[in-house]
Amino acid sequence: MKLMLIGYALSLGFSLLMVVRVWRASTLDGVLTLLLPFYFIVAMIKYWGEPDHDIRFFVLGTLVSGGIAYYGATRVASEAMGTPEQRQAMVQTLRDNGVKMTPEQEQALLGDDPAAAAEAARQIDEQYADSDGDDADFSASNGTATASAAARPRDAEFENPRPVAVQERPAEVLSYAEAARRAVFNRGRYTRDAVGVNIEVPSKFRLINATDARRLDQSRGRSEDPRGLGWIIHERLSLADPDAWHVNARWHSDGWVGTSALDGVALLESALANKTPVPQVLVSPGELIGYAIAPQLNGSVLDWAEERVLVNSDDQVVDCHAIRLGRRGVLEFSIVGMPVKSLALCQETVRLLAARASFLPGKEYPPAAPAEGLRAPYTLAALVTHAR
Amino acid sequence: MAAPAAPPKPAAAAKPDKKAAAQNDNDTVASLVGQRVAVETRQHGVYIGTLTAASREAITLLIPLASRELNYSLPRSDVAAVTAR
Repeated sequence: MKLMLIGYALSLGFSLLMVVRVWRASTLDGVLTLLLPFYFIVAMIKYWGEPDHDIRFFVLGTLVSGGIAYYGATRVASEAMGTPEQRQAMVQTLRDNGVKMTPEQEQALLGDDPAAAAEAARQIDEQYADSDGDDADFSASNGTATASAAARPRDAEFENPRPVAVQERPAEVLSYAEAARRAVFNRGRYTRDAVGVNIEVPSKFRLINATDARRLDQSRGRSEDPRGLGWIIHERLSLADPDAWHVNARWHSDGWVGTSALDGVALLESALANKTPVPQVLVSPGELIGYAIAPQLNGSVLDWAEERVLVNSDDQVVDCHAIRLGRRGVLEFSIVGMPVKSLALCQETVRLLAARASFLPGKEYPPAAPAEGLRAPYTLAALVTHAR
Repeated sequence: MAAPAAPPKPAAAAKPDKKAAAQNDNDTVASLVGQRVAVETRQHGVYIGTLTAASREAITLLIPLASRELNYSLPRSDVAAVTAR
């Protein structure tokens, strides 16, 4: 930006000096040089070699400074649009936030033409402004600002290992049925670049992104899950049925978590002794009875199932968890509140999803604490026993 | 000359051993009634509580929770091991 302004200022200065010198030789030539775009060439030739009226160095200066200004302007445009990786991340964010784009708009956003990208962003912005208040983070007034606004939360999430505060969003009052009707079912590979994770959604399952999951939670009066990445539901289950079970995919960006040998009995002793549990993973509202499946760590995947008795009731349920460890945090798959008789289904499902999830290169779990980056303020054992 | 005695059939010998082992196991678990125990299940589950009853069909634990105490029964067929804590 600075370079562009300096270039423009120098170019203006040289042009004015050029007009002044020509004006001194001839008022008519001066006026014509000022008003006609390329008349300075005539004046330059006409007064070539005259010590008081020669303008060749001023023309050269104007051209050089104009070149600097042009170079500065192209840099500003490319910086505003971001690198191809940033634009890819922005498009992914828009998709995650449920913003609908045509393939042409998406191609323009990812293309090398800043003007086309800005135009596509402006169109999407207008489309969003006209919509009924979708809650994606997409509210800037022009294309370039939109691009950076969309990229910002992702960068923050990636760089800041602490949970990202959920931005204030306009409350959208929907019935559960309407929220379920609006949800978009994703299949195949689901990638979150900000987290650095791929989830290969099994063929019989569908993934609902965080925006749709949030709407569904809100419609049932539940608080928003700041760690939620989405829901994964079996194709045979109806999302419109509020009692249908689903898997919660969650990301804990707390840093690298240390592991150690896990002894089921010792962990249960510790969990039962902890009278003020602070669960990091999703749990049913109730008290822990025991481990229906004791915690076991296979490679970088930890899984276990808790049996719980619900508050003010003798009903018992199981909560199934599978955790994939990553360099900057842990990816959680949880099913909560399942009937005890469905334990096998529950546990196999979360294990399957954890097995289908993988971190992108450089984001995988290193067995030893990495030299750079934060370490989580808890261990794997504390995660299991809900201690902090 | 008397013919050598035929060796006892292994299956016939094993049957009383199995019964005896089951009886011993029942006796071992029954001896832990009133004690704090850890029960491990065949599905790799773990429960800890005070053993209040043990029969051939089920064992019952008294599990202290934060707000109450819960009587929790486990089918005997699911139990892999019971150890005193």
